[in-house]
Amino acid sequence: MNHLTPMAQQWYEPHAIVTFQDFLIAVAWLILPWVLLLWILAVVLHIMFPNNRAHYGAQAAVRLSYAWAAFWTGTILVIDVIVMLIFNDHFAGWTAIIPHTTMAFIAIIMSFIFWYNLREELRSSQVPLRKAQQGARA
Amino acid sequence: MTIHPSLVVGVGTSGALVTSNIERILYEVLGDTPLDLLKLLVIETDNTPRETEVAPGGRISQMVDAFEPDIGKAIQDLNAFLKSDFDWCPKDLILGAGRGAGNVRAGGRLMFHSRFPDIYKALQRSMHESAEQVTQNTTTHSIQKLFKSRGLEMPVGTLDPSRSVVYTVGTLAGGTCSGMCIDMGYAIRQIDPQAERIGIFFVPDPNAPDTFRQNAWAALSDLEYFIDHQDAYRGVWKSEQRTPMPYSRGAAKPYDRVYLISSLNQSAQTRLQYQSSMQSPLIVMVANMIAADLLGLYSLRAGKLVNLNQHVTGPEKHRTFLNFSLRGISYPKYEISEASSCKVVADTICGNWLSKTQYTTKAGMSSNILEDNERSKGRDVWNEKFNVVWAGAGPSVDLEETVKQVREQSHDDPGKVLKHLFSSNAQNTIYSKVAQTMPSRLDEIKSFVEAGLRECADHTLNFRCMELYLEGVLGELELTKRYWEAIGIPARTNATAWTGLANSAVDHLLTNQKSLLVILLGAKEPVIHDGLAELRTRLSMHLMMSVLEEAADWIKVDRLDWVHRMSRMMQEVQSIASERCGQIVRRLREDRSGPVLKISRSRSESFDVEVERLAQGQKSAMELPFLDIYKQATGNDSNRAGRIFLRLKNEVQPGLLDQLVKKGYVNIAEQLRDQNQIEQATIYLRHALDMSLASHPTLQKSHTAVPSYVVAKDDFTSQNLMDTITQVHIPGLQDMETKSLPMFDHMAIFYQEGADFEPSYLDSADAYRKTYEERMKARPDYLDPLGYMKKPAETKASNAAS
Repeated sequence: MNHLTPMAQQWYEPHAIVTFQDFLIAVAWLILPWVLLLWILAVVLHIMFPNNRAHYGAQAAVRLSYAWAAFWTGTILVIDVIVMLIFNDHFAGWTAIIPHTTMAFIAIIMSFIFWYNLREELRSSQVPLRKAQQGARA
Repeated sequence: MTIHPSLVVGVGTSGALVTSNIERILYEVLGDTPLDLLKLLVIETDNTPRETEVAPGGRISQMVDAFEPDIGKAIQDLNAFLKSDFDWCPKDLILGAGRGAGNVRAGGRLMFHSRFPDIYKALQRSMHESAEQVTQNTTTHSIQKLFKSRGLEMPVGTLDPSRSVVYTVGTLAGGTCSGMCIDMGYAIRQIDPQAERIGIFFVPDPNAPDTFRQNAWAALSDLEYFIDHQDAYRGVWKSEQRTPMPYSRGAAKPYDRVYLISSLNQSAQTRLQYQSSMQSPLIVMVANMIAADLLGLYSLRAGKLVNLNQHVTGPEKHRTFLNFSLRGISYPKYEISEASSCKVVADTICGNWLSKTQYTTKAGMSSNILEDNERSKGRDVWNEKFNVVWAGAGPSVDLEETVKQVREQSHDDPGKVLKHLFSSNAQNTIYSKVAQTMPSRLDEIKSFVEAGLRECADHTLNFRCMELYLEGVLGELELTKRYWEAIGIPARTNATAWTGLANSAVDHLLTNQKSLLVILLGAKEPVIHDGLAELRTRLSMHLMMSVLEEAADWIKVDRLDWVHRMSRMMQEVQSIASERCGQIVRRLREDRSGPVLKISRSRSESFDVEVERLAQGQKSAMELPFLDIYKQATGNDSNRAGRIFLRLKNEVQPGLLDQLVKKGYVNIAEQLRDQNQIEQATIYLRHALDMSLASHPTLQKSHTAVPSYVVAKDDFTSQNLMDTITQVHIPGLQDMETKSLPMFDHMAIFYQEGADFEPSYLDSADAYRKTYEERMKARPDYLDPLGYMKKPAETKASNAAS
């Protein structure tokens, strides 16, 4: 058996989780491809959307790329779960998808945090303009 | 009727006023067609600004300033050149403060001698040019054009180059003309011995101040003496080469004819008032006579006066001293067009520029002024053009080299280097490079704001819109400044705050570019670049803060103030124009003190109505380049409004005058009947026959001896006028000849000359002589600067005979 077989198996035929130890092992096998996926997606998205830098600046574009990458990584995990549910013969019970949902949840949260920070930053940058305009009206 | 090459020399203030009136009359008659064979020259010792107005055709008279500010130096100078020929001048001559000849005859003569090269040159040039012009095709074409515009063919021989006519006009009351008149006559003869020299001199009233009467009597005595002793004149002048130049044209009278004019009639009743103003009735009368003379009356008069010796016997002076009186009847198209143009200036031009509610474009389209719309034009200009100004500031400074240095970590402490680059004004730092772009930013802002303001002015022709445009620009500028302050940009003067801001931004940037997230995405260079670009933007804002403050001050203090000043000036112009319009209409309607009876176009179309109608629909007046006119009218605010008004009026008036001409000729005789003005016309005729000099014995006025004319544009009109007037019984009305003067077609004239006169026939001659003699006892050198040419025995005998 290949050393990476358990990692691959975690994607298409995860074992049912009985103990917390099982859960940690399963998450450990999942986290490496998860990080790789996140990084690759972030790079791809960063390259695919160069206008983000023109619109929001380089720093914001980096964060936006990670936000989208995290979102799509989470989405991919959810899709994987759905596919396993459809092909029922690989489905080892509801406990087997706990690592997937955990990582998907973390990805979505990460995406939300990136997005929320960016939104707050953009909002706060509008405040001086609004204040200036209110000053004009006053 | 013939036209001669002619020159009118106005001497002194009165002479200048007469020439200004002639300019106006010639413009009314000739319009824009120049007749360069008619020249006007003013010799003035007092050229302090006065209310002489230039007619729309522009000033055609040439001015010679004869004022001598340093009398002592002039005396010393002339003494050195003329030596004993200058002994006539009192060496202790004092003329008092101010300009002019100080009402001293010796002062007038001194200034004539001191400024002789200039005066002589101007006379010579004017006379030569005038004589040359008479043979030019352009002159013939001009006169043909003038005849054609009157529906006539130019008769053969209309231009007579054989003899020039030179008029000298002024008052004998002051020092200038009374001191210069004798020398002037001989100087003209020195230039052209063939020229006909006509002197027209105002004589002060018997109740005038002593000095005026003394001067007048002294000048009259001199004129009389040199007419009686034609070989007596021995004047020596200073030539242009600064050598003595004696008079060398032989024995002659100072003038071929001397017309003495006063405000009294032959019965010593005051008729036409004399004042030192353009509207003075006596000055207007003389100007009308000379203008008519220039356009053909001279040839009619000369034809009559050539036989004067058959009717007036006795000494030569009885045929030399003459008097004339003139009254006219006219449809005053010049005044109507003037009043109407004043109305256009007041109501259309000023009204539109000053309106707070609507503006009118050059095309005549009117729109309501919507304040927000007008302000938004200013805001749009700022937002559109400021980008360009901004691009020329910080963004023009290249950051690539700095980004490269940071990325490659060329320095041990990139933070220190970056802080230095962004906060030190040393050579080659980013701070200094951005700062260098600042001075030109202000000029660029001013330039686009100004261009927008001009565009707004050109489009709206309204001060309120200009004001709103500037308010819009200013609003957007203030908004920009406030925004920068809100994002924490310190003022230009606060260098410490800027250094703090730059340092923290650099630290933040250096931290960010080391972030794992950035490194994983390979976005280190863009992050450094954008971070530095943001800092450069903040630096531009920091440095430009003062530029914006200056620009805002410039808009508030300079441009808005400029618009307000123009607006105030326009209000003044409007009030001048309204007042003038009212004055002219009132004068046309009510004033009967002048020498010309004004009749309106018809009974139904009174002066008010015609002025009103003519002014209506003159929206094209808005095409006048007011801003340029305002710019060109320099000077202090008190007379600037007057000059702007005059310029605007003169731009509008020609078109209106043209419209009146196109409306057709007004039949004066018919209108006199129709408007029940015949009685009034007979009064004017009687006043013309009453002469303008109180004399005893009365003057020779017979139409067989001297010109006694009813003159109109053609024989039929003059006869018709005569017939109309003689319907009314006029006791003692003498026969008058009817004459035609096609070129002087705007007026019908009653013209009467009187001959057989000498100064001692003046009604108050004794009073004049008495005050003269009293003064002579005290300062003969002041009052009689030509006394040295007179033989003492004869002078005494002459005085005794008088």
